[in-house]
Amino acid sequence: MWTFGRKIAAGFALAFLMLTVIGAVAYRSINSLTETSRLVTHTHEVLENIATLIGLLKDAETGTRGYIITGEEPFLDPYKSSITVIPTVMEKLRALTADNPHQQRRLDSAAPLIRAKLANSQAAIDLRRKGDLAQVTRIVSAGTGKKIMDELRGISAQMEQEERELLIKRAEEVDAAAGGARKTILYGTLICLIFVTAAGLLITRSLSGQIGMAVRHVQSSSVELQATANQQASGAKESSTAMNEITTTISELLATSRQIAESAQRVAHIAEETSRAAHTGDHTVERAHESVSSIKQQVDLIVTHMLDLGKKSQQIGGILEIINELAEQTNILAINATIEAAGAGDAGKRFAVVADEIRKLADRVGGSTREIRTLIEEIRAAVNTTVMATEGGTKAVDLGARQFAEVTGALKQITSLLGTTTEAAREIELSTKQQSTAVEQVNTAISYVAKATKETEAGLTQTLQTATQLTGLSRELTRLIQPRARA
Amino acid sequence: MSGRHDTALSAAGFREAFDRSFAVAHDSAENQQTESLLAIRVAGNRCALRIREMNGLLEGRKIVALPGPGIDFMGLAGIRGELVAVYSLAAVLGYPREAGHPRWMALCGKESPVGFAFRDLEGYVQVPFGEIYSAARKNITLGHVSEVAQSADTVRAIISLPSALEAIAKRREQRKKTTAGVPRAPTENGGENRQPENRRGDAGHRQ
Repeated sequence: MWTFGRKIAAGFALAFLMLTVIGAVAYRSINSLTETSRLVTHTHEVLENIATLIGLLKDAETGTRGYIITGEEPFLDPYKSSITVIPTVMEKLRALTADNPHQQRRLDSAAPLIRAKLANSQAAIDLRRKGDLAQVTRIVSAGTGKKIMDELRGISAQMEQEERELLIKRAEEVDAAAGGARKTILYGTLICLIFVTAAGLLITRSLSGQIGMAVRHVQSSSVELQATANQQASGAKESSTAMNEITTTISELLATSRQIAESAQRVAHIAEETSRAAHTGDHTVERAHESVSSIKQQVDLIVTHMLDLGKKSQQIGGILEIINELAEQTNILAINATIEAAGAGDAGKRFAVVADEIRKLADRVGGSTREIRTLIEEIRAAVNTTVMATEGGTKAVDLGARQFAEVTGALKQITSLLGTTTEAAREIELSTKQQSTAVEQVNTAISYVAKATKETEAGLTQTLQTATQLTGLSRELTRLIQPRARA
Repeated sequence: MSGRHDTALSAAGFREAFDRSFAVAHDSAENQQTESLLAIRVAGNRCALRIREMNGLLEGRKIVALPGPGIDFMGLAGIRGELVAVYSLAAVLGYPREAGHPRWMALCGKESPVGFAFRDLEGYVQVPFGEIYSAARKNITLGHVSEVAQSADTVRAIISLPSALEAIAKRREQRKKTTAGVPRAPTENGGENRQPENRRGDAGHRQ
């Protein structure tokens, strides 16, 4: 696509070319017209000199006739002035007709005739001055002078005729040149106007379209810029507020950093004291570890005794099963004894009482064995629970012993770490002081940034105004480019 | 310890009750007005056997299974040097035979002892006669049960062993009539053929 400059340059180049062509044609036509006019003038000058020559010859003849008639010298003044000027006029005619061989030949023919005429006149004058009128009359009557004069008039007429023909021809050439110049100027101007108008319309339409599109883009961009500037302005306000809050927060942070430095100093002191306490705790834990080992041995002994107790309970249970079996058998025997006593009738009643008591006794023994079994089960459950609890205690003691060992190691590690902590606390104290200094610097920088933010806010406000103006200008430009289009 | 103290008290109580039982009269009114029963469970039902109708109570006796005509006949068992026919008490009462080997066996019948096997024994009880009612009164209709004993909230069907024995004897007589002249192996009535008269009087009729 052609650029604006290229299109405008092309339009101007076309106009320049057309004007150059028209100018060249007009210049050529005017030159031709001027040359033709100059030739016309030249022809007129030739005609004038021819007339002057004929006039001078007539003056010379007139002066000669007056002197011949009167004898008065004053009548010779025209003759004298003519014979003085005629050579000059002849030279001038020769010069003016140098490009015309016909006229040069005629001048060559006229020159001896002029000399002859003047010589005839001079002879007459001389004779008159001598007073020889007869001779004068005879010379005049001979008609030589008239004959020469007629030939000169003929030559002059030929020359005038040719010059007039040339004049007519040149007048026609002038008319033709003037008509060509007029046509060239008229049609060239018209063509130029058409081309320039067309080019102007094309360039205007193209430029209006492209510039209109560009202006609309500029307009939409300026609207977006306006919206963005609005957002940025509001953002800048928020940033300004945030920067103020940050400044306040950093001030608080500065105070906190100072407190941290003081706290770190106290931490260092406390860490030293803790290290000493950890040393003491280490010894205490070692003694506790020994106590736990002793407890573990006692717990192991308890577990052994409880397991023995469990075994004894199982043995009691076995014996109790035998007793229960005996009770059941006794009960069966008592029932059978009761049956036998019942079969024996009255004789067996006393035996029935004994059998009944034996059965009751067996029932009671069975009940007692059940109670004892319950008690033994409870004892065994208690023993099991105790063993499990004791084993749990043993495990807890083992775990405690291991944990005491771990605690001992941990206390040693704590002692070591406390040394590191003390150094770290001192480093923290130093770092916090440096941090306080840095925070002060940051605070100062933030203040500058807050100022810059305010300035940015002001700049964005200015940008917003500029964007608004740009929107108005783009609408105005759109109206200028496309009056019918609504901006 | 309280446990040991309770045990001592219990032993003293046993001794005192034992001594007191011999101090009272044997034919006291209390003993005369009670029925001695053997509390059992048959097919999950609470039942009772009269002591006076039994010849003995046996535990864990081996029963040799033999084919027999009735579903209630289980086999033979050796008791006190004799072969005794053993019946399932549950089947005799009309219930399905209890699964597994029955632990207990009630022996009855004087001339031809018969064993009634059952699985669960609950114990020995004495029930006043005043608490023994007819089975119809308690709406219990069960074979060989004409009375029930109620103690506290428990109602037990009293199985009449003589009635069961009589039914078995009748069934035996009918088979004898129908199979007369046909030699057969002693199965259900094996003890009957070889030991005809060796028992005391029929306890089932001593009311």
